[in-house]
Amino acid sequence: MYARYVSGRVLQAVLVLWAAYTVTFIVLYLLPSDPVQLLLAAGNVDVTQVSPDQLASLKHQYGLDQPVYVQYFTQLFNFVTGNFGESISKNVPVTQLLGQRLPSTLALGASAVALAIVLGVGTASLAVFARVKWLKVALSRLPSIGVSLPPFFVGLLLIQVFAFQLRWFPATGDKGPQSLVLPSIMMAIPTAALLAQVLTRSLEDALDEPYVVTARAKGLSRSVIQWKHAFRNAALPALTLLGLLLGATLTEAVVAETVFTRNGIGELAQESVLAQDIPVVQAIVVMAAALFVVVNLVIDLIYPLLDPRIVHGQRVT
Amino acid sequence: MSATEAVTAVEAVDARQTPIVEINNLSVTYSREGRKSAAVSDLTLIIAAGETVAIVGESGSGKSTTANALLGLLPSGGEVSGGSIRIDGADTTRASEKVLRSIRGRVIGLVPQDPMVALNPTLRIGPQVAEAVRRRGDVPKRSLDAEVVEVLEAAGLDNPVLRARQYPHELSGGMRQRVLIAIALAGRPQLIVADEPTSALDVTVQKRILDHLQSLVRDRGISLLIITHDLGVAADRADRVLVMQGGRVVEQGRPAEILVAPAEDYTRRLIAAAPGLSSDGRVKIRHAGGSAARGGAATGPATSVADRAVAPAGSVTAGGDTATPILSIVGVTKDYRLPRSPEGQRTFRAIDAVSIDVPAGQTVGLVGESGSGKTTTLRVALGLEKPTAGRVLFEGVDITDAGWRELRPLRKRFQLVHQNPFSSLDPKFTVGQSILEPLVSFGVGDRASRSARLRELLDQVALPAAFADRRPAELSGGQRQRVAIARALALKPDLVFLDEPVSALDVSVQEQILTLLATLQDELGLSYLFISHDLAVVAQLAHRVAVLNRGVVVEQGATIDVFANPQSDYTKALLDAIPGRATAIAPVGGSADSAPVGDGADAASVVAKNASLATAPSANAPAANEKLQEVAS
Repeated sequence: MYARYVSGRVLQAVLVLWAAYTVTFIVLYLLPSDPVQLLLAAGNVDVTQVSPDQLASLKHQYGLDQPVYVQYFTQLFNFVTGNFGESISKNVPVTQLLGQRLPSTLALGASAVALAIVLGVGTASLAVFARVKWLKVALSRLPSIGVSLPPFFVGLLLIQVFAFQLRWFPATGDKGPQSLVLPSIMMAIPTAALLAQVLTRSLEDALDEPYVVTARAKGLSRSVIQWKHAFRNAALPALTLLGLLLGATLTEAVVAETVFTRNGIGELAQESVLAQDIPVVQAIVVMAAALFVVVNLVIDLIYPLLDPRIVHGQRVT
Repeated sequence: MSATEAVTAVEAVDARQTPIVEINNLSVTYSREGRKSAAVSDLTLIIAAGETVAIVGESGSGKSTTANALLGLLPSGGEVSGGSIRIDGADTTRASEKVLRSIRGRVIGLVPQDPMVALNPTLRIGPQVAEAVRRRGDVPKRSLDAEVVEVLEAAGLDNPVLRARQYPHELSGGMRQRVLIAIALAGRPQLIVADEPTSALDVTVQKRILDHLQSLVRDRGISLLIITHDLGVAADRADRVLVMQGGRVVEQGRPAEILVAPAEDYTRRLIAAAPGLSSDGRVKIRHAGGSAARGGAATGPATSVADRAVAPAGSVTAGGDTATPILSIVGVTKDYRLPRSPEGQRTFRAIDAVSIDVPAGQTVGLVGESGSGKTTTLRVALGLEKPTAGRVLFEGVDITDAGWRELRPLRKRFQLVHQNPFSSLDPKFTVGQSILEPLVSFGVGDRASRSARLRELLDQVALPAAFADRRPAELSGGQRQRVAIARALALKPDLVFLDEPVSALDVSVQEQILTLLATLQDELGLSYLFISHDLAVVAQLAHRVAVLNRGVVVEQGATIDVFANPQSDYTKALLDAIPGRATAIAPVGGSADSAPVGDGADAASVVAKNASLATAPSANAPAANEKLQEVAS
């Protein structure tokens, strides 16, 4: 049963990835603009100075004289085999660019996600567990404040307080784990807040379920009931949301890397879009889609571990 | 052991030991949005060791609140406002959560209400039982698994090793209820509180499980507190019965006393409402006319149905001179594709050559347990599901292959009342919007005529006109079901499908709804196809009964004949399972006259007797009481 479920999900993930690639291809290459002119403009060459022969040879060099479907399949094949082509503005292979920038972004994304999960789950669990009235109210209001704060504003505030005044953490750059702290907090706050909102609600719902009465009647403690019985049932909606939020990490990294001047994928994406560096943009877009797909695939694979009914389905009498 | 012996035994125990539960003048109030309402007032209840006590009452009578107060599990807003609770000699009235925790599971075990939702769906059965076993504190870790298997086995589960590894959704309702009993037993408590333990289950399963629970409790000397809305269940099982109404105990005593000489009108109403208790143990059959008493018009279709059940291929117009039945289900078979499984079976036959006729203006009851194919039959009849074989005729017109377009005009003529009035009404709609929705959907009438029709419909289902602006949350279960009936009647249908219309309701409310349905049938000439798992309930409405078991009609005939002279073992088992019958008959002892209808009593005399009961229902209760008192003295 599980094997069948897994193969289904993996196939779905591959299809989504292929669709993402295809849409990117269509948008970037088939829009009414001439890729060769963009290439030349990127290289600061005046198009009017280039002879038709040179244009033709350039087109040939980039495979642009081929029919669209040939271009499409050649590129698809290249992407599948890990060949993303060469950057137009920087004249280096795209893989090399990504290799330079990826570690920084991965470190930032991972720490932001970990922080978001800890903050979100912690706030929700405490808000539900607390019995002191004012604490309960405070903890359940907190997430709505977090959701409504604009991330770049939080980032600037963090720099002002913790970098400039208290001098605890560096304001910019990506040297050492210390530089991760402020941008991670900035990225984690909105994710954690949304997560806490959803989880608080579903924990409260789960604690109202009849099986919790059964558990209480066994004489179990509140913490065992909340963690062992309610949490697993409440985790599903929060997990779905987490999948969507994690998929958007790369987008958030663009803002964080701009605010904190870090040399990551986000910054690379921003530069490449401005320079109309098509191969780089395409590689980043496909990579973002791949991240989204993989994260959600992983979450799909976690579901049945939390709720066995997802794989088994309902029985036919 | 006779009733008197039981009582002396209890008294002897009482003298020796402190009672396990001593509730004195308990009052519980709920406060919501600043308003306080009393849920239980001045309740006194003592349960001796080994005693079985039942609290009977409708929803809102405070019976469940009493059970919750005992376990310290009152929902938020609820608090004990007076009196005291002593458990095993210790005062627990306002005890801390820690003290209460030490009582739960160890001193008092709970068998909760609805087994389908009372187990954690994300955990295997084993760990859920193990939690309760571990609370005993004296079980070494290595023998935990063995203990779990042992309690599961004690609760009557087959293959307990496998069950411990399964998830709740892989078990049937009855099996889940046994798991819950195992959990309640696992902490070796001195008292088990069973809160409506079986009302969500089929009658025969209900009987088996209650029998089993009772024998477990008896063998181990555990006290049992049964909370139920069904006086029949209480009377069959308890040494002592408390009847509660509006938070107060209105009557208490031994079941035999209460049934023979109820002191309160309310108790009398509950007795009348429990299908197995009224008419001294005979199920009350509303349409007792049977095939003989009915005129030729009814006999015709009846025989033709019988003929066709034998030979489904036979001609549909076999009745010849008779009116066409409003609905004919002819030899309908439905196969479902199974998900690919290693066992190799590719399809599941939900119903097999089912033939049922619903004569115009009459009620046909379709009885069976869950999984018997009743719902599939209903779905095929409604045109929601295409049968694998067989035909469905509406007034002689074949609608088996009719598409949405052809079926839509006919949908005005047959309507459905759902099982659960708590989920079949849109919570955001007012009552009026819900009732008028079919009219809006079919574009019938204008604003003025619709509001006139709304008043008429509310009046027909005996709801005040002011209810039109209320929302479902403000209504009780019975009132919601009246709204659902009104909605089904809005388009003036000829045929109404009733899918377990009362199984989610209290016994006394069931009675009211069934009476309403019967009245509406007489006034409007409706035909009903009435689906239920409970023969006793069907008897209160149906002219004819078809009994469905594993997708096959095992018995079909006039209600009175099926009850007086059941042909199949399955029907006999269903009849035996009706709660209350054992008790209602017990005091009369071996008198042949009062043997249960299902056990081969003289059919003719039963027909005669029930016919007279049906014509003069008010006369039967006093008569029965007289006879019981006679024997008792």
